[in-house]
Formats: sequence, C-alpha cells, structure tokens
Amino acid sequence: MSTISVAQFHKVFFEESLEGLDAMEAALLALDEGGDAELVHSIFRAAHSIKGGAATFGFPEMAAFTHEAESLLDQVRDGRRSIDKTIVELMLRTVDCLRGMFDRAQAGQPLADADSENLKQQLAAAVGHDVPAATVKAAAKPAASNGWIIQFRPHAGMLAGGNDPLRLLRELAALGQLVVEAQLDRVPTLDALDPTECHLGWRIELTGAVSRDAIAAVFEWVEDECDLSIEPRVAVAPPSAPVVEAVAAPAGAGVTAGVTRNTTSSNDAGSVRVGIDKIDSLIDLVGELVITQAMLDQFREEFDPARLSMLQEGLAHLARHTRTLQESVMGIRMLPIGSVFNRFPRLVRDLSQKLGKQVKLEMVGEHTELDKTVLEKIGDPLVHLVRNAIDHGLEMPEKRRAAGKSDVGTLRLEAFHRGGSIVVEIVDDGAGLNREAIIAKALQKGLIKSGDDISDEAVGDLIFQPGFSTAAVTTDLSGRGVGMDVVRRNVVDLGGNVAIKSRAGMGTTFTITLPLTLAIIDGLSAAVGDECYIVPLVSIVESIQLPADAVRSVTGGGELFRFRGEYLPIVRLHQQFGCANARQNIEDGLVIVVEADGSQVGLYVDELIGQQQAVVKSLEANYRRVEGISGATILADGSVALIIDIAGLIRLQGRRKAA
Amino acid sequence: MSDHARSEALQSQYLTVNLAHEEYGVDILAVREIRGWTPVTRIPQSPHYVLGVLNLRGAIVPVIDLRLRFGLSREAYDATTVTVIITVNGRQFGVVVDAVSDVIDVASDALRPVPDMGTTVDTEYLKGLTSIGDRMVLLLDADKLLQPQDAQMLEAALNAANDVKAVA
Repeated sequence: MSTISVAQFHKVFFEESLEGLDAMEAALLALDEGGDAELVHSIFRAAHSIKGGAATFGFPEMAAFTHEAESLLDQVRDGRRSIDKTIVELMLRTVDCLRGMFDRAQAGQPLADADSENLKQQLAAAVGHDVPAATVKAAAKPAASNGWIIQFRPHAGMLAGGNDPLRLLRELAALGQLVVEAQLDRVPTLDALDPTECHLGWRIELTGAVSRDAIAAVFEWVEDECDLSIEPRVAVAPPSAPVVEAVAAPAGAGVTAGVTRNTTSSNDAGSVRVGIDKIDSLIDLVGELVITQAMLDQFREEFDPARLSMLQEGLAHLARHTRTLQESVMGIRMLPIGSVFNRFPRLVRDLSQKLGKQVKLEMVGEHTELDKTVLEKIGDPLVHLVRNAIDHGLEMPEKRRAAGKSDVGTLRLEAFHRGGSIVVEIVDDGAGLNREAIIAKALQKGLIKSGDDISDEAVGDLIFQPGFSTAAVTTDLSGRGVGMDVVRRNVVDLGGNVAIKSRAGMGTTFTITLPLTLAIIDGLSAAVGDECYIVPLVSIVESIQLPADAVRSVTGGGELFRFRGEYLPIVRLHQQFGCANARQNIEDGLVIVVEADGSQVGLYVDELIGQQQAVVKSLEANYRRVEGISGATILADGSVALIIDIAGLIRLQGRRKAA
Repeated sequence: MSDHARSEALQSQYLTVNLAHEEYGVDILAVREIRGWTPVTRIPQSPHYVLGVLNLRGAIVPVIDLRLRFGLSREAYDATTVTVIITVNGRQFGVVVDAVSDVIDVASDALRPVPDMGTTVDTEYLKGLTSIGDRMVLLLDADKLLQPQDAQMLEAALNAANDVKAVA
C-alpha cells in the first residue's frame, strides 16, 4: 500500500504553471492589440496544461476553475466566438485569480475564495451564453444544477438529541464542494455561554449537480430541531461579508479558521533555469582544465629546465581556462531582463485605462542579461518609475494635443550594456518635471534657500530627497507611501545609481546604471598598516599624494583638503578601523578620492598595492554585518581581505564626528 | 543488550581542550575540524575577543579567542595553540584554545550543574561540568560563545532599517 507522494512535484508544477500564466498574460495583451489565431492556441495550451497539472497534483478547485476558462477559450479557438475586449478582460482576471490560487497553494491555504467562485460563475455564464443549444431559459436555470445555498441554524437544544452538526457537514461535503461560513451572531458572551447548547449557524454553499432531495435527506433527522432553508444558488454568488470562512471546514473549526495561517514560504532558496548550451560550454571548459592539469602534472615527476617553455604555456592555459570558467559560471546566474520587463505591458495597460491616458509601451533590449540577484531587486524600483512616468509624466490626450503632440504618449524601456555596466532607461515623452512646483516644494521643506541658483540637474536631484513627496506637485495615484528616495536607495544598494534628465514639455528620462554582477567586483587593494583592504573601483574618482600643507584642520578635529575647487573631508582609514602600524603623516601615504551617495571624501591609506578582481564573500553568513565593510574576499595567498563599503564608511565617519 | 543500547543512547562525546590550566569540553558533534593556529584578518568594529576572520575553503569564518572571551589574559600563540572550528545553527566559527587534549564520553547522568562560583569563567557559557577520574571538565555551551542571538538581533535590526517596503 505504498503511495508515491506527488507533493515533491508541486514546486515544479507551480514554477511551470506560473510561467504558463505569464505566457497567457503576454498573449492576451497581444490579442488585445489584435492578434492571430496562434495566440489563442498558445493561451489555450497554457490553460490546458494548468488544468491537467492541477487535477494530477491534487488541486481540484483549481482544475475546476481552469476548466471553465478552458471551455471559453475552446469556443474562441473553434471560431464559435470572436475575441473581444470583454473576453480579454475576463481572461486577464482569470490569470490574476489563478496566480492568487497558486500563492495560496504554496502557502498551504484553501484555494478557492469568493473572488474565484465569482469569476468561475462569470466564466461559466460566458460559456453558456453563446452555445446555441442553451435556450433563453437556460440562463436562469444553470444555477439549479450549479449548486445550492443552505442556511442551517440548529436550535439551541439540537446537540442534546445526539445530532452532531459536524457529521451533517461531512455528509454534505460528500455531495459536492462546500464553502461553509459560520454565523457567530448568536454566540453569547463567555459568562452566559452554555457549552451544551448549540449557538452556531452556518451558511453553506454547495457546488455540484446535487438534487434538492439529496440535501434534504442529509438534514432528515434534524429537520425539527433547526431552521433550514435550501435555495438554488444564483449565477453570480453574492460575496457576502465573510465573517469566518472556511472551505469545507468542519463545524468545530469554524472559529479558529478565522486565524489565517501565515505560513511563510520556507523553500526560499530559489532556483535558476539554465540553458543547456551554457551547461555544455561549462563541461567543455572543465574538460580543457583537466587536460591542462594533466599537462602540468608531468612536471611533478621530474622537472627538466629544457621544458620550461612548456610549463609556461601550461600555466598560461590554466589562467585562461580559469578565467573563462569563472565567466561561464557567472553566466549561469545571468538572466535576461525581459523577465522583469514582462510585467509592464499589463501594468501599463491597466494603469492607462484607469487614468484615461493613451500610452504606447516600447521595450528594447529584453535580452540583456543581468545577475539574478540584481534582477530580483530591480523589479520594484522599475515598477515605481514606470507608474510615475504614466501617472505624473505623460499627460492626458487633450493636453498632449494642445501641446502639439500625438494623443498617444510613448513610454520606452530600454536595457543595454555600457562599459562594465547595464543601463536601463525609462523614457517618456510627457511634460517633464514641473520645475517651479518642485522648487516651491523644496523651499517649503527647507531643502534649498530662496535665491539659490538651481540648475536643472539639482532640480532632478531634489525629487530623490527623502520625504520629498510629489503628491502636492502632481496627482498621486494612491497612497503608496514610497518615494523616489526609496528607488534611489534600492538601486544604490545594488551598487548602481539613478540619474534623471528632464526637459519641460519634451519628457523625462530616468537612467539606471547597474553592475553586471554582485558576485565579483573590480577593486584596488590598499595597504593600511599591516592590513589590506579592497576599495571598489566604481567608487574611486582619483588617487593623489598630498603635501602636508594641503590639509587644513578644522574645529572638531576634521581635516579638509582642496580637490578640484571643493573642500573634501579626509577619512583616515587607520583611525576608522583602528589599524596598527599605519602611517600617520599625510604626505607619506595616499589619498584616494572616493564617491558614494553623491558625496566625496578623501580616503587616507598607506599605499596602493594593485588592482584586482575580488570575488565577494559574505561576512554575514557566519558572522554579522560590519559597518563600513561590505564583504570579504580571498587574496591570492589565501588570506582574507575586507571590502570597504564607502557609503557606510562615510556614515560612520559622520557619526563619529557627531559623537 | 537493551541495557547496553540505553547507556549508549544517553552518552555523548566531548572534545576536551585546555585553556588556562582548566579543561573544557565541546560537544563533538558541533566540532567541524581542528587546525593549527594561523593568523587571521582583523575585523573592525568588533568585540575584542573576535580576533578576525579566516578563509575556510572559500567560506569566511570568524575566529574568537576563548581566553579573551572569558576575560583571561592572552597568551602568546605557540605550536600547540589550535583553532577549533565549530558549527552551531548553520553558522561556523573558530575558537582559539591553548591545546586540544582528549575525547571523552559523558553519560547524561554524570552531568552536574555549574556552581555559581569557583571557576574563572562566567557560568553563562557553560552547560555543566563532569569529572573524568580526578579531572574536572567544564562543558561549554557552544551556542553562546559567539552570541549568535545578538548577531541575529543586530542583523534583524539592520535589515529592518534598510528594508525597503516593496513598491506597491
């Protein structure tokens, strides 16, 4: 009697189904703009696999729900029904609803809810609507076969007769799918409660082709001891306020079911799908490495100076293969940014409909690859920028016409490589930043003083200030409570930066620059006393040697030096980190001008050792986060060097000075 | 037979280490490896007993000096000084002790509670003591040495501060 548990396949099923839903959504949106039959086929296929999978893996509610959607699609596919806006809308909602079901399935919660039931009825109604055989009567009738609503109110003394409501509900559950809602209004306060009496009532929705008599038979023994009504369910179930809702829950669980099980998804490790070609190239490389190793191995036995050139060649091979291997392994973590872009057609469609704007979305460079970690974290900032662009940037059609622009606003998302970075641009051809309103707001907030000469860049920079809500400047879509400062911080956390360029009446461009990967950084290793630290290359502006008289001491112990017309503070690394045996005189060491969060400081170190690529290792995995340190790396000699977090170091210095 | 099995089940093994003329026991299941003392990379902003981090086959592992942890004076590191790598709750860390000495079996009923005084060590890091012949062995509570609770709390606080509510 051994059974194979299907639970182990759930994860794969969820993953594949969610991908299927993405594909469905994309195809639906394409259909919305006028597509061909092939799109309908692909939507149908996706729905069909989800239905099949759901039935196999024990999610009957999901299978039943998808079945209705599939029936509707089947009619479209057979040409019995033409695709129109309402169907696309209905199917998009179906996709959303299924996503919700998958979320609940992953959390181990009941799948069906009022929304899904509601939508299912609508789908069923849509399917029935056009079938020729379905007479006019059928529209009113389907409810009869579709289920019943049972109001079951036991009298207080029912339990005394040995009748257990739980048993009744179980019997009902055997007839079809149940949605049971406990009615608690008659439950007295605790001091007045007589535990031998029944105070609960139930509203039961029974789905399935069940005759009235079958239901009545269940209640046969308690007819005289309860108030009972059995009514056919109307096509659209009214989503009555769910006081306590439990799907097919036994009566006793009625109250506790109200406590939602907040099972956090424990299997959060995540997985990556890797193209077979990437794996093949890895295998090739490892093969090459083995050959090189065998070649070098010959020298272990005996070393003949005459073969020195062979050794050199072997070592060169080894270096090359190692580097390529490293790049290939990193490549496994790289995923196309298209997976993030995919969500925007839907977002833009919904948002523009809601706001009454016309928006054309252009997406370029979806195949640009980014590190998975970066990819996962860039989604939210991008969504925010896109929403902002549609909400604040693009104007209403009338206004656009008045400005001599086409009614349809253009929003362009573009990703491309530049140097060692990935650049993502969000370009709209809207009104641009409202310079006056922003300056007024900044004055009010005390961020700038009146009379200051504010450049366009500075205006752009203002909107990134914390607490600088644009709500008063332009309309706000909803109380999202997240500002541009969060967007900036998210991007900076990823080691990137955001820039804004705006021209009044012409539009706004946000440029996000991101590192290719977080796993490897280019850095300069610097010696401080007996220790070695890595300074990330991206934050380095310049390194200079200062004569002693170039440094001004200011009150409070700070030191300043002049760099390109500005005075920058000096951060002595040996003081911040407490390094022993470090050089003390400014002219003996080096000052590295570094930049983070828009501010520059001079980092005083003993000397630079050299440039190197550093594989970033976490300190937190075994220890904890250390301020001013972003991670660690392993040097060529096997020892550990710490990587400096410039922004953190500047904060640290600020705090130390304040203290 | 069954008696034998039961006594087996109740026994646990401890690695004993020497520290300032006392003998301490570490649950052997928590011990990953023992390695000779090698210099480590100091970490700024850390408690004085955290010597630094070392590279354990690609993982960055913090190392604490047990003498300093217990408020004892630091001896020079010599040939017998070792780093014991311990894994607790999925976290690895190294503990520097004067020397390793033995592996002992301790039956659970031979475990005595620690009296509040009489040792040079704060009792909060100890989970009990036992005697082997006429030697007394103090059994360490490895969980508390690096205070992972503190580390986690700190981390949680930092994460909360930096956590950015996802854009709705």
